[in-house]
Amino acid sequence: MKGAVTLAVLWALGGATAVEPVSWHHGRFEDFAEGSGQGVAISSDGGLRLAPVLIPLAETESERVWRILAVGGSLWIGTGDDGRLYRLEEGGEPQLLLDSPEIGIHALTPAGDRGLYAGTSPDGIIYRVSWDGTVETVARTESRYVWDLATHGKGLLAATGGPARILHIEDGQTETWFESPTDGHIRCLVRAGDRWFAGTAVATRSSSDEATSRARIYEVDGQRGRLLLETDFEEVTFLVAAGDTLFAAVTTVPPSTAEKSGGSAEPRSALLRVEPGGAAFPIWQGPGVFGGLLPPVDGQLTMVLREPGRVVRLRTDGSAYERVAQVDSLEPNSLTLWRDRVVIGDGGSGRLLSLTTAPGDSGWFDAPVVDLGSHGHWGAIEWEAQAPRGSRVQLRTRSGNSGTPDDNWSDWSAFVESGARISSPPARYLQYRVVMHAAGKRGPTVRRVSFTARQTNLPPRIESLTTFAYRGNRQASGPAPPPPVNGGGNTNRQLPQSKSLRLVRWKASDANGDQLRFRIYLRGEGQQAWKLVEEDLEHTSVYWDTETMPEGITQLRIVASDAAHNPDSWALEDEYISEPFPIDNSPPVVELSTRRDGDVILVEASFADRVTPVRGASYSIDYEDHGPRLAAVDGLFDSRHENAVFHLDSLGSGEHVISVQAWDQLDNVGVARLVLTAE
Amino acid sequence: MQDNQLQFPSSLRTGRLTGLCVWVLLLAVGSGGNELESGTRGYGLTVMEGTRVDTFGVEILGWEYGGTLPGRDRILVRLSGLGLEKTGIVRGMSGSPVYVGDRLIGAVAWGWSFANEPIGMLTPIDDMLEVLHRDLYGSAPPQDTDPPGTESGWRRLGSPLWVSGAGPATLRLLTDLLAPMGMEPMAAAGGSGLADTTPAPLRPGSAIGIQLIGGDLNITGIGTVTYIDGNRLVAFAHDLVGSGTIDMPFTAAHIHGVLSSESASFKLASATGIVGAARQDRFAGVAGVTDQRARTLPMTVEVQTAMSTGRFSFDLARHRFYTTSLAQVALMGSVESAAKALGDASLTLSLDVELEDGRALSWQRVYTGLNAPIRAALEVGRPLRSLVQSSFEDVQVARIHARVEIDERIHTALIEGARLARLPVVAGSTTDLTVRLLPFQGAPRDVVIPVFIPVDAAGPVQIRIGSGRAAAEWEQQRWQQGRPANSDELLRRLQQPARDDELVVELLSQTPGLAVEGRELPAPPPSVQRLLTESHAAGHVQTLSIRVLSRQDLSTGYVLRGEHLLTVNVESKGTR
Repeated sequence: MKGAVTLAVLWALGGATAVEPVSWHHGRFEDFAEGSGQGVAISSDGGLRLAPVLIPLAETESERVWRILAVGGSLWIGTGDDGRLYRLEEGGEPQLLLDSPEIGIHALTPAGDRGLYAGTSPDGIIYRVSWDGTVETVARTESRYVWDLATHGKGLLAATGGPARILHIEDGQTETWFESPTDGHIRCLVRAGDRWFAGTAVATRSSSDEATSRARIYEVDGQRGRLLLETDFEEVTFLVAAGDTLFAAVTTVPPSTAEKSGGSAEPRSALLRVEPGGAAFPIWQGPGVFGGLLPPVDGQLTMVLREPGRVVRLRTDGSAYERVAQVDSLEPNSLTLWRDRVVIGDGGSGRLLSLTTAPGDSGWFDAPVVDLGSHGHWGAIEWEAQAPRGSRVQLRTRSGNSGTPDDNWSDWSAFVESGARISSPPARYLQYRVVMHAAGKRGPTVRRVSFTARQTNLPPRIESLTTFAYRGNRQASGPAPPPPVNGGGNTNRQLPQSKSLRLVRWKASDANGDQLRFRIYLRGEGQQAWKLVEEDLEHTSVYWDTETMPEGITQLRIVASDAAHNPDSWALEDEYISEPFPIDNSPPVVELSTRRDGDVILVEASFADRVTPVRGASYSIDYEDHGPRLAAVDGLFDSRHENAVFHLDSLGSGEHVISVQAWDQLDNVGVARLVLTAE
Repeated sequence: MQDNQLQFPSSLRTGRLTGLCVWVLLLAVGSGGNELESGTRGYGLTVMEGTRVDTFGVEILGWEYGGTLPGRDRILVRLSGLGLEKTGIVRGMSGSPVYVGDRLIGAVAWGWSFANEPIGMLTPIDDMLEVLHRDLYGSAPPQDTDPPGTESGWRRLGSPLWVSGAGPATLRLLTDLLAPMGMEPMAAAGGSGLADTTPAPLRPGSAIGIQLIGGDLNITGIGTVTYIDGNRLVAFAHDLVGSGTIDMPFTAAHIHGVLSSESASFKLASATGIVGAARQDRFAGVAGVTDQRARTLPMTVEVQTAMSTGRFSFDLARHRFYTTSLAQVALMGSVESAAKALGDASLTLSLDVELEDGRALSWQRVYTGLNAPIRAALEVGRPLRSLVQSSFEDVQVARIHARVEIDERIHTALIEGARLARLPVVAGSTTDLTVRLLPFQGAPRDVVIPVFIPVDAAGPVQIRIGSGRAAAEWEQQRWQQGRPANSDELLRRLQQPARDDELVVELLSQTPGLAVEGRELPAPPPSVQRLLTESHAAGHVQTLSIRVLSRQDLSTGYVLRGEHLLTVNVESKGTR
């Protein structure tokens, strides 16, 4: 029977081989960026190495730390949401010096030997707090926020927001040094040589507002402001200077996720290097919000970000950077150097943490979870490392079937040798942990980690199968069939245009993404066995010309196989059997007889079809185009045998040709005629 | 006889009481092991005139078990003598001790309204001694008890609140405030509450009072001493307000006589000198001491009229629930005394409340109309209640001072409209806003207000014009403030100006902002907004959608009605 069936291919099922070994190679920063650990840094060239560690330094009772500053050997801590100022001595506990009526202390700067100045919100007050805790109100700025303070000669410069101004305060007199109605806030101030620069921020907009303004950097001198740079960001949160060069920490924060109905609401940040003339380029970009930026030391900048909380160090030319530490529970909000240590204030609590000055003796790093796509088996894992004598790199794995490691995951495996097979149980997800040990001051560097896995083969699935007589597209329930495709196993076949054409369409998928091959079987009326009519089909639709097929009620069976992309012993199949459908290419047989009743001629017609019901009949006189429809004698054309009667009572004299047509369910039309002569 | 039925002597089975016997009471005569058989006779002590303790007869009729509260029994008695057959049991007898032989068995506590026979209930002495044996020298903790409701059926004899120094309007206000709590103020017959006599020594049967207000106004609940143990005593045989631990002055009392009444006869009484402090107010009685004095809340009121200045001083009982009402009554009484209670008047009220820690609340309002004093007295309750009932431990009211200025004319005006002097409006500039006022029975008046447009106000801005009270309502609509985070915030909120004679002009913009710890942080930088709203430590942070750019207040001398809203587009000034 195979070969006697005419099939034409419609369209193909996409897909690629999946049950092949898959390898992962982690050796770039991006490969490790989503991982986390302790005492291990990721460098921009992708290496993992031992790094300084964040350790608790002190804790205030406040909700958050807004600003920290090292002055005279003490660490001063401005907090919210209680508007307090603390002083911390080495080895001591934070001592409360000022409990202001304000919400936050955002700005601190030394006041020579008279303590320091503190700027607040929301009443924009500037205090001077002496070493003994004596508090004096220096100015009420009539701005909502005091974001930054800097001494200027004998006076004080205050960067404010709401409105955006720089105020000069000296001897109890306050004058406006600079104001920018087009900006919401002057966020930061920095002195570079003899020049002063100010970074601005927009006022928070609502989710429905378009961002119409940008954060800017102005050069200010008390007389006027010169726009140095308009950024593509909303906020210049920090400015630091190295000689004439500025470094600007800029951030854009989409409207709050709470009011955002869709789309990304993740903040993004960049560190811009701004040359003296205003030329600027990013030396670092990434997700999150800046929490602090230190001036460069030895050509290296240190910055902290939140979302997620992390410490990053980078070269001032942007040539290299390193994520020194990441702590998801930390929201860095301020940064300073105190007694040679980097100190971080938390924006989500009253905590202070410090970064150890040297890498630890050991550290660990948990790589991002790897998704195999479906359940699978693990192969070998290997890594490339530079390990000075005495130092060690160890690696272990764990696996599970949820995207985030939890109690349902396996325990960490024993440490494995590089090149050994992963011993964690078969699963969909895998994570590895790198543990590094230094030898003295020399620690190892991991350059690459590679491992392999193979998915478990899962059976294909045929979800549906439909077939119907093809009449253009008027019966098609699915998408309109495209023009015939020359491909697959039927390249020589032309698409038949006859009424015997059927469309066969099925939907199939494979969890592994294997490309499937299909076989089509047929079983005719009165038959017991399935007959293979087509095989190695890669497509999910065929035209089928049934002209040469035996008529009768028929069924199709589609078998899908992934054998083409799996070893024979792993190959799997699925099948789907169609509903019974008729093959009927013969027209109904029409028989006519007449009798006369006075002047009236009665025509009696009988119709018979072998396979499908007669669906209707009509007659015409002398080849007229649209003759009248006939009614079945039993009232309904619904069976394979029907009868109809009609009368001819107004025929003119002469010869007349009476034609009667009947059609069946598949639109096969049978015709009979008789010739009458009227007098 | 069934145990669960009330058993009356045959003489009581008919007559006016029959209709009262429908209550289902758990009562058994002589059951429960009690030897007080029905028919047992005894006597009681009370003062019917002056301070002399007289004796009346008592016949035990039965016991009621658990009739009012679980585990609380009462003794049904018929009293006789001292004219009680004619008056029925008299209010003010509460606490009158009853003896059988030489044994104190309880005290008169309950009676019927509209009864013409002296049938009543005693609170057993054991229950009262439980109250007496409680801590009477500790400091009074905050009373969180809700005010008691009125009771049906058997009725506490109650303690008529004798009020002296109050005019009719003040008495009506007092009744309105206290009646829902089951207290019935009555004008005292004795004029000034604290009579000039030295209080007679207290003994069982002596009249005793609990003073709610002393000074230029006197409100005292009168009852009878039941039992004295050294410096401790128990009286009343029922609660006064049922607040548990209290600290209120005990006074001696002088009985002027008994007024017979169909509903409930009562003693005509006046409080005399302070004799101690009530410290426990429980279901079975009020207990206190005679060697200490209650700590009261001093309140002064100054009422200034065109003719004179009246000065009044009061001592208010400290009670979390009642003190506010007492202060309202004191204020009303002062105004009624120095000026008037009703009729055309404009009233400026300045309230200063000093806290124990030195902080203070200053609160001002103005009122005008026919009932301005009453409105003032009612509204002053809001800030006072917020402080007296505050849940913040550091809010302890030390003293109250109110200053009232009364002008016996009506000063009100309608805000008819407003217009800006010129357009466009430029950020950083000042533009004149003319507001037209239409005074009551007066000619229209234009008020010109220079409105400064802040430099950061570029864009569409709304200008809202209304009274200080309206502005306070705008603020509540703009910012649904929850519970204050601390007492400073509570004071700040209470102190927010809301005077009806202040014309308020607010500039508003649709700008997101925050409120932290009750303080507004308008339009912060995006990173700050992000930290405060997304931080895991948040919870006391609210988001706001409208920002008040500026607010100007102008005193007009009128109580203002009406409000208006203008929308203008403010042009940017440019960078200097």
